Amino acid sequence: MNIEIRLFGTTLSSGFTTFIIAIAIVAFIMMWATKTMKTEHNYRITSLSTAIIDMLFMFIYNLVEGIVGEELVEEFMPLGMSLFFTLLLANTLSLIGLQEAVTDLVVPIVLVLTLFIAWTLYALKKIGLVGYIKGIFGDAPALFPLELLGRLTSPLSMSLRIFGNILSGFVIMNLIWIIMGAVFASGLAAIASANIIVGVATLVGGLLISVASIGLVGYFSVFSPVIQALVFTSLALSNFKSLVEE
Amino acid sequence: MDLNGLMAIGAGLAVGLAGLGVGIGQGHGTRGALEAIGRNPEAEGKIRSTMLIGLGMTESAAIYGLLIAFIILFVFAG
Repeated sequence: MNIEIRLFGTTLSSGFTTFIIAIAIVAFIMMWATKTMKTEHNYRITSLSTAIIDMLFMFIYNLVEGIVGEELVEEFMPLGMSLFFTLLLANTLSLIGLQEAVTDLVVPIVLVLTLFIAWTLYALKKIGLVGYIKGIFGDAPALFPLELLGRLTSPLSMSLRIFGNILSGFVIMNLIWIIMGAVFASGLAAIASANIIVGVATLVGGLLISVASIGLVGYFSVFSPVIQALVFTSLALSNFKSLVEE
Repeated sequence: MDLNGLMAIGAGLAVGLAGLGVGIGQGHGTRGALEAIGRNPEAEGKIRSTMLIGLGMTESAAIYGLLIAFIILFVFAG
């Protein structure tokens, strides 16, 4: 399904539209949860939906704690939470017919550029310009081109990783839909030309393929986005940590 | 042999060679995780989730090959 938004004279692509929808949903849920669950020092669980949110929160909390350590977990919790759930929702919204957000190259590139600026600013704030330059030259000054290259290519590889993974699922699922359409069309054509047995057999075969493709939808639209969102969030957070640690 | 045929061979090689290496690598990773579970069955959940993230990262090498194949097939040839 192609949804396009016209804004200030430019047209937003359909993947970017999905991204904006995902951001809006995540922001709405987070604001609602904050309003409902917040108490003075902690949060409270009053209903099933807040219990689900608590479960997801603890899942991300353990992930973030494992990456940045106990003393920084409060600082990075909002980033980890919003990054993970926005990416997850942006890619699983394909289940209701929207295009996966990161299949538009602009979405992962802009995401990673923003993260790159955030990494640099955070490192400059924590260890200062001298510390940052010292981190690049490190203990082996002759190898500084490699270190510089590593810093510049890590955002590139992050964006291409999530882009390629989701795009490959998108392409494979589209190929399967095309094959299924062709199978059903040929079955109907066979029935129309009075070749009933062949036609019914083809239709039953097409039905079996569509039942089997449920597993593929589960893999490419649910499992793969979860794993990729986890990987992206872990890499983004561990980069914050590793830049400061030098 | 015309240019389109060479492009098709190139795209196939890009996916095939990348998939070869990643297949071996993911096998090694899974073997390590299985050995760790066999040695320490209580930590199965933690090992499995770490393994899945690791496999997701390893997979990206094959995905780069796939991207190159897509670029060859749909950008240059298309």
